[in-house]
Amino acid sequence: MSIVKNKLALALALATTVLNVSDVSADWPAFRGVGGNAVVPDAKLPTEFGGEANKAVAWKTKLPGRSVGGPVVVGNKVITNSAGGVDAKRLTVSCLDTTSGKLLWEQAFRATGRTFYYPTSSNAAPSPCTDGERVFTFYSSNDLICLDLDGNLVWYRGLAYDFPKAGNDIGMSSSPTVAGGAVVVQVECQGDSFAMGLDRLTGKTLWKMERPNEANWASPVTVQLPGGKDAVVLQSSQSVMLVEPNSGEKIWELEVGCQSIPSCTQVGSNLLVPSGKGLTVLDLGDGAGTPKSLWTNNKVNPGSGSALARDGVVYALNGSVLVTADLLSGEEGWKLRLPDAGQLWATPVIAGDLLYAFTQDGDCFVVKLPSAKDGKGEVVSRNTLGEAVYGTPAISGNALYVRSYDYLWKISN
Amino acid sequence: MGGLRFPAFQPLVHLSEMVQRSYAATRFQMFGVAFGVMASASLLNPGSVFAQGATEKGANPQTQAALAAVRSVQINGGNHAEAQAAVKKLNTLDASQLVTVLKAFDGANPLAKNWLMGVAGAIVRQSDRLPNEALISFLNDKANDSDARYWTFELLTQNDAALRKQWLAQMTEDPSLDIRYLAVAQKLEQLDAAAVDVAAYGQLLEVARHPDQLKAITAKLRDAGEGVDLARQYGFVMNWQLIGPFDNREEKGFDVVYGPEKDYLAKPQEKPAGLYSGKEDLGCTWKDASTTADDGLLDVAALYNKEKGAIVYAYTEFNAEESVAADIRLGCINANKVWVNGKEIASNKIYHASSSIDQYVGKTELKKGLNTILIKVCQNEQTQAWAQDFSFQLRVCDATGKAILAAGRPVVPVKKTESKDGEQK
Repeated sequence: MSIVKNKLALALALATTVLNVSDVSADWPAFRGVGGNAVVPDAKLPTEFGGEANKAVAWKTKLPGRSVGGPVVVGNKVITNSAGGVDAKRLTVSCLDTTSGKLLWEQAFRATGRTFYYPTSSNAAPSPCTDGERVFTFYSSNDLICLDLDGNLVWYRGLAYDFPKAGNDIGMSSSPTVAGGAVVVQVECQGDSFAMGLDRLTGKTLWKMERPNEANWASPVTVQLPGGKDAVVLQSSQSVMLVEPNSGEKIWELEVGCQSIPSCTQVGSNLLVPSGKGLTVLDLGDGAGTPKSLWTNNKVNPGSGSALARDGVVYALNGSVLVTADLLSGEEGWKLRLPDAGQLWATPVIAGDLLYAFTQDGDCFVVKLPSAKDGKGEVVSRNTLGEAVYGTPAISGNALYVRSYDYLWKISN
Repeated sequence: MGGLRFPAFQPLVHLSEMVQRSYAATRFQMFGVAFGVMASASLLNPGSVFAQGATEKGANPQTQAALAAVRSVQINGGNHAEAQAAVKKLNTLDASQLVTVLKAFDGANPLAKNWLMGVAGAIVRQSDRLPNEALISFLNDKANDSDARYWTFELLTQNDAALRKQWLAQMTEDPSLDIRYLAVAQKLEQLDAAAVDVAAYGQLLEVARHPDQLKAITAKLRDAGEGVDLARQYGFVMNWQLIGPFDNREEKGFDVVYGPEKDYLAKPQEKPAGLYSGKEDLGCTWKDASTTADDGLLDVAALYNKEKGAIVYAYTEFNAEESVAADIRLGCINANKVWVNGKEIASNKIYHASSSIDQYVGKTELKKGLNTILIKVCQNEQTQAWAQDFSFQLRVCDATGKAILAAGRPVVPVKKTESKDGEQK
């Protein structure tokens, strides 16, 4: 796909959040899609897939290392990153054709930061992001790589090489995000702890903000403000703030203590903030002034995956229980236990009226969401891929792209 | 394990033939470029542009200038503009220049090496033939940069399992630790599948460097009834003198220079002597502490009644047989500082974020004769069950991970029934 088409596809994806325009072929440009709200209203995905017969598995491609992040889709390319080799120091970015799953290109690098992580995690924990012309991949070792869509290096930064105390030996997983002229990362840990905006084109530092010296696995989120400008949400245990992406200038900051694993989500003019042990919803208003808090509900707790919303209903996976609430009032709705689900790390995604929730063992619960306000969701299937899935999948072109430990899968009818 | 010989290392003189056979027999896709079935003679024709040595002669001043620009990349995005301009030119080089790019790894900083990997990858992607003979020659020359050699090894073998297997069989002592790891892993797998060969496991133990492989080989030897001093193989220091506790409540003690630290820094060739006033003004004296754990882990909590909000200093003397550059590799789940001969070589204000062998690596120069090591181990007041460990493990080795042993260190063979690791969360 040409650069012009890529930009158009990305613009359509951005429009989905603010203008409620739906385009099933839109790119999936970052962790949890645009604004972090992993919803594609008109997408049609299979309800049954995987298993021994590999039902509805269009393809499955082995990759050179493990990942616990999700893929991104840009045009006819799906891109994912992996870490393998001795001590997970061999960093690989792989680009596959969305139709065939064939490898289009692959580029390897070597980690320059700390590659220790929890045994079930990976050095390839953050999900990539794209601006439609370049892909930005980040690693727990704080290596940040920018490639063009043909796999050629645009620039490389070793942020832990630059700041040697940056690292968390349990692993880091904050995904980068593109906003304005910058790619923004959060590198937050007990050592050198900061958020940084880098020039998308050159990799030079635009700004660096000191952050609390504590572990934080949540990701920065690009939000679109009224008027079309981008801004970035940064969360920590001390606050949630909105920053201008090119300068790092604080637009507003609220003293809301946020969780360190699930991330914020933009839903139209609202922001879902995983706060304390529950969820706080903010009204962003015009984006310039301090937002108003609409509600906080400690029973709507996102757990490890982040919250999302569709048609005025918030969904959060609290352990293995899917809880719902009204987006504007916070009034709790129905709950549904995913039976024998075990642990779930990936954020659920919604296609049409179906919610897809992956367990860490690689099982996917498909939940049919009610069409009526007084309805309740029901599990319509449980599908097995047979490989660990920790990363949030991507939806594009009526297909679900799932990254398991060692494979990238395309699920479609 | 006396009396073992290093296995003889054979140069890779016959690899050209192997690659030739492999390429002639295989159609595969590499980095998006399709390689068709090729006549082996034409690929490796010495008269072709891909002949050995031709790439180096072909490096023109513009290419060298561009490589220099890429090598000039510094921290904080330094020289990115120059590097980006250079990469655009270098990406269009033909495959005959690939080895020139790989040679540019030599002496480059780790950031620049990644830029060079990007260039090398771009050249490969746009090439329909690789300069295999030159690449093999580059790989054969162990003086070449290890990262570049490993990259080359993967390029040449990642789609050819048979070739990979044949080459790795000769590479258990390779200077590239990545290649060596793969070679040792392959050999270990072969030994595990065959009848127990104690001598072969013993030889492998001497060439392995990765802690996981040392542990795995030791387990096999012990299963066969052999005694192995694994802690010695790693180079762990087993005997210490400890003093404490000093105050670290609210994590405020990390930078406080308590008496032992002050006296040590004033006279780093002596153990700080005497009685010191510790936490809550209680007197502290040195006490001997040693470990027998395979991984050298010393459980400070057990020796100090699981004291919380506390600092303990650990001191040891290391009698080096000769002056030598050394790695001091610490694993510690608590905040820590390490000094060697009075010079601070590590400082990590990190609490309970996992722990591992070789977690923190400091570089030093050991003097022939007496060297002193002081560690400051800092426990905080977290109450979670997973935040109660108060321990450390320290080993002395060269940059490859081979143990540097104190003079006169005895061998203490440990059999299977006697072995244990320290317990660490």
